[in-house]
Amino acid sequence: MRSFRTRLILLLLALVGAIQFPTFVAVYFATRGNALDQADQRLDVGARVFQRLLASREAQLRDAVRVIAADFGFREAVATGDEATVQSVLFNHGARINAGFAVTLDLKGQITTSTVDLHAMPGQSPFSSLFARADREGVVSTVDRSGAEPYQIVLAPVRAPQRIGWVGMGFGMDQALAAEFKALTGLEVTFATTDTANRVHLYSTLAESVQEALATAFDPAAPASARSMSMSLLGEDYLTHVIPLGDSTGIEAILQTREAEVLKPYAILNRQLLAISTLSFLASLVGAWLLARGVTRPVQELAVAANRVERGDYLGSLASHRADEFGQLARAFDGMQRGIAERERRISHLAYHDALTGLPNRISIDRLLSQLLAGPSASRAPFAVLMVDVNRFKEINDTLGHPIGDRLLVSIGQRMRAMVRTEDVVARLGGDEFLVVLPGADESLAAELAATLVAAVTEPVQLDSMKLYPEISLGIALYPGHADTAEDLLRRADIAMYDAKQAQIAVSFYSSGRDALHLRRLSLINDLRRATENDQLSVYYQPKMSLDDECIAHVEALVRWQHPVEGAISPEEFIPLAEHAGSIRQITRWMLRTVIRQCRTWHDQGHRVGVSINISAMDLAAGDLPSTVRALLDEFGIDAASVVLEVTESAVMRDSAIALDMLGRLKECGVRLAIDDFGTGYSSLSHLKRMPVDELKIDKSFVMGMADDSDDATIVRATIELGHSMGLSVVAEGVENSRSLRMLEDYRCDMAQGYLISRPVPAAELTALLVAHNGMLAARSKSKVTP
Amino acid sequence: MNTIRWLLALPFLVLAVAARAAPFEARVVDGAGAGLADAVLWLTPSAARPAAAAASASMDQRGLQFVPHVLVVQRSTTVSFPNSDQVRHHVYSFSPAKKFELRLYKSIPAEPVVFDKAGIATLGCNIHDWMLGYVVVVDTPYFAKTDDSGRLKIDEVPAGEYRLDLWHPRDLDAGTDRSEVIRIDAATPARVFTIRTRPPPPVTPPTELEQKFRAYRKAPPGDA
Repeated sequence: MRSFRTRLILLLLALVGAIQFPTFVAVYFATRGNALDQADQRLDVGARVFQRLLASREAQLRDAVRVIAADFGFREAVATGDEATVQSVLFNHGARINAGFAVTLDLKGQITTSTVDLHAMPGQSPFSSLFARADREGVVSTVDRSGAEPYQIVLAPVRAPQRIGWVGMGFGMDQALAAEFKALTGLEVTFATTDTANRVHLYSTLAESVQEALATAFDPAAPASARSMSMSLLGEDYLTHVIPLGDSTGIEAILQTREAEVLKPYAILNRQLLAISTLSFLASLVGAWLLARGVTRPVQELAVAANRVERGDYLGSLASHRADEFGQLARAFDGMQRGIAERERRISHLAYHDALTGLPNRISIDRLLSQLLAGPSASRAPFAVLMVDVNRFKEINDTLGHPIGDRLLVSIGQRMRAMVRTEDVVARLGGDEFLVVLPGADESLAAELAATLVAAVTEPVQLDSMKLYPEISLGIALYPGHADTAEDLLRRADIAMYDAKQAQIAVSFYSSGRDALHLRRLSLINDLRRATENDQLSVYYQPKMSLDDECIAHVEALVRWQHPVEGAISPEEFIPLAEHAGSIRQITRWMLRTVIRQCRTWHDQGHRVGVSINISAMDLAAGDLPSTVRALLDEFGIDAASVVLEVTESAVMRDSAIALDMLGRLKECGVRLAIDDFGTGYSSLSHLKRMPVDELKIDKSFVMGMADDSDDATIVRATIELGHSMGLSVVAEGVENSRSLRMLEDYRCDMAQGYLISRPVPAAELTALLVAHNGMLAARSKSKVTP
Repeated sequence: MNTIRWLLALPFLVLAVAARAAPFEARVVDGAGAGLADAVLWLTPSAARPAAAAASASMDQRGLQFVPHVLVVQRSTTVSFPNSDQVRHHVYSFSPAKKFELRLYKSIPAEPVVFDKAGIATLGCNIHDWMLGYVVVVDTPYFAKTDDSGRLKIDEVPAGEYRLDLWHPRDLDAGTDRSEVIRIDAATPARVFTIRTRPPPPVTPPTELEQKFRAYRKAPPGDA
């Protein structure tokens, strides 16, 4: 992968190159073209000069030949065949113009006199082709060749007065002539002839070796071009101009000039241009490198800083003082880093602290405990874990609202925090659960601090106009005494706290074995969820006897749980578990259905008996209990007045507004409502008055003791009178002896329930009991009437 | 060689003399069939050699031309070269028939030239290159030259056998032998001969220089 810097440099260089290269190429070719054009022109001029020279030589020849041809003496000598005279004339005139040779010819073209040997072909005149032209033009000139050597010749007829022969003068076009032309034109001059065997013969100013190359390269058949061409000879380029000479092909003058010579001044220019281009390219390279560095260095710094932030180090700073965009980016980055650091601090605080109270949370505790339990066990200090639960917090929340509940929790947290040592940690685990860790604390110190906490927390809390009296249950587990893992410590502190709550005491230490109990409870909660499905629940019925006619017109349904392993489990144990686990509503619905169906059965059997069913506080807190009840009554065709729903006093008190609303709706269904365990709660009379109940059930603790305790008897009597005065019927539970029964009769209590009458029995047994009891009553009334 | 031929023909000549004379007519046309002027025809008797005539003739120079262009004479004829022009002439002939050179000055008559050999003498003027004339020297008294219509007539040719020769200065086939043997008598018909000719040399227009001279001659300066 190419770095951005490399790409930037490459891009800039490419741009510079894209500008410079075409410039260089354009200039190079323009100057070169210009130079070659000039050379071409020079060659052209040279060619014209050359042709003028040839023409002037020809004119010279013409003049000389004309003079000879017109000379009377010469004509006479020719006419009379006076060869000696003719030859002397030819020498004489030839010498005047420095001609190469002179000849006379007869009318057939045969040479009669010549100053040189012209190698005429036997039987054929070398000039025969000229004669036709000479007939028309008089004097004729041409370039021809004798053997390989070219020459220029001018011929004129000799008349006396009719044509009696020809006289001619000429020059050989040899190396000497070429040299002469070269001196005048400055060009390399070559005369080339091509013989019949297609061999090229050269007479040239060129060096021997170049001549050989030219002889090979030269193609006489190529058409002559007006413009000069380039020809490469021995690695050198020659601008070449070919001028055809003579009437027949095969004789050419080749004018040449070396391109290198022509281009020499331009080569210097090109070298300079190349140097300038190279320099500016290097300058661009340096510039591009500096620019790229200017761009990429801040980016690299940012990348380093970003890596630092990635590692969680927010302390560094780019601290850029640049005014440009990179400076802005660096400052923005610093700002972002601070923002991340701040948010991370907050997130981290939230992660390890409880949002409501600001106390450490469960994660903090886990961390703290693992710190305390780190290292070899010998080096670990002892410490105590205190599990704190606010008693009846749900009631406070439900009755006074969540805002009040939250404020109470905050207040409790603050108080605890204020009471502990600095090294101690107070955490909120969630809901109304707090945890206090006391590093270094032994049993006595833990107990001492626990007592201090309880004392501080149970001080009344003033919230707005309300004064609350919070209570807490506190369970303590010690390290290393009770457990040596964080999990066990927390669970055992929890068990201890649960024990305290059960025992209704403030502080409890974990005692060994409680763990097993706790596990049993968890197991039961789990089993209870499937108890209805698995048919493990059953209903027992305990009769309520009317005290005025001793008739059993009503029975209370009581749930029984036959656990497959544990055996029978008392409702006192599993109902709180069901309430705790949330499965109580399921049980209640099962009870309603089972009991109302049983009621139907009894009605069908002719037993006009009503049924009472206990309703949990949780059933009142929410849900659709009224519609469930109504649906069941409809389904089994049971008169609503035959059904009594019993609610404990404390259940109604816990969440009174919602509970009252629910009771009102149940009342609308037509069922009767009873307050169970009346006397154990703290309901006021005004409260009681507002409740739409029909029946009070006096708690058995009072009834069982009334025979021996005058105080209880007074309470029972007062309660009966209170109930009656409010138009409620009163039921006494826990009637275990006949004396109590007689006292209740005296107090005009409406119904009695207890072992004296019957313990709870299964439905079938109760049916039998109804048959027996009502039969006995019928017999007795008959006997009463009979006497 | 000719002499031998003449000797061989001698017996026939004797017979021919006895015969009666008759005229000979002929017409010479060129390749296009047009009458050809200046063609020369002569009949040489096969039998006897006629005697050379001591005749005379004249070849004038007039208007910078030879007049006539072609002059036919019998051998031994004396030809005078008068000069009717206002300029000088330098007449010459390099022909084998007769070589001579005459400087002709106005009003000074030159010595006449005796053409004593049969043949054709080509005349030129060294001063005026274009001037061309011919003197045809024949060895017989029976000769004629065609007029402008190409006709010729030889009167009173004695009957007998003759060698007929024909010549024209622009004969294209000048090298070939045109001679034939012909019998002349009263019944000899008129003959037509065809000679292909070269075109006559172009009439050289007077050069600018010459025109100036002519104008000068008509009105010499100071003559008005």
